[in-house]
Amino acid sequence: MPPNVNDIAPDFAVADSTGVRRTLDELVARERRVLLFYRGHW
Amino acid sequence: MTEYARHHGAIRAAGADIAALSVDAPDASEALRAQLGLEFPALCDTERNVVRAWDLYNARERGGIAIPAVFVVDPDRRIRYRSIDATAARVRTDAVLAFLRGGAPPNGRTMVLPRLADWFRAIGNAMRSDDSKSN
Repeated sequence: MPPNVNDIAPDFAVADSTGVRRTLDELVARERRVLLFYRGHW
Repeated sequence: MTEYARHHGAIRAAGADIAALSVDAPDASEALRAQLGLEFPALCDTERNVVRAWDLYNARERGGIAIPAVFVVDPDRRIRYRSIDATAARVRTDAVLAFLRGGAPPNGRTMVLPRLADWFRAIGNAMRSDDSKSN
């Protein structure tokens, strides 16, 4: 099951589209983050 | 995605920012950012590690893609809002904004029983979904 409300989200580290490595910890460090999972092109 | 790009300022004003994630390669993700004028990061889960860890992996399409979903994650990484889309229709930004502004409970009735208009919109989006669109 995907993480639910009140769960601690699993951290991750992936590159963004500019090649910069981003972690969820870093993304949420300053303010809450709306995280969108999208289908993408292919 | 277009709708989130348009409401980025409102989401910022509500004390949050956005990040988008797909399994697309960096060049495709960067092209989408440019095309839609996205000013938030597009994360590239090309190894499918994140979508698997979050159990948002649709292995049946296009070699495996993300299941559309929206989360609001607090600075302690606690999830405060979640919407996982059974159809191609992603939860509307007004629902997310209402939550960010404190107007809607995380698992309130609107999540269980969407307004009739949202049902029609979701059904319409599902019928229009032709697997050639990314959003």
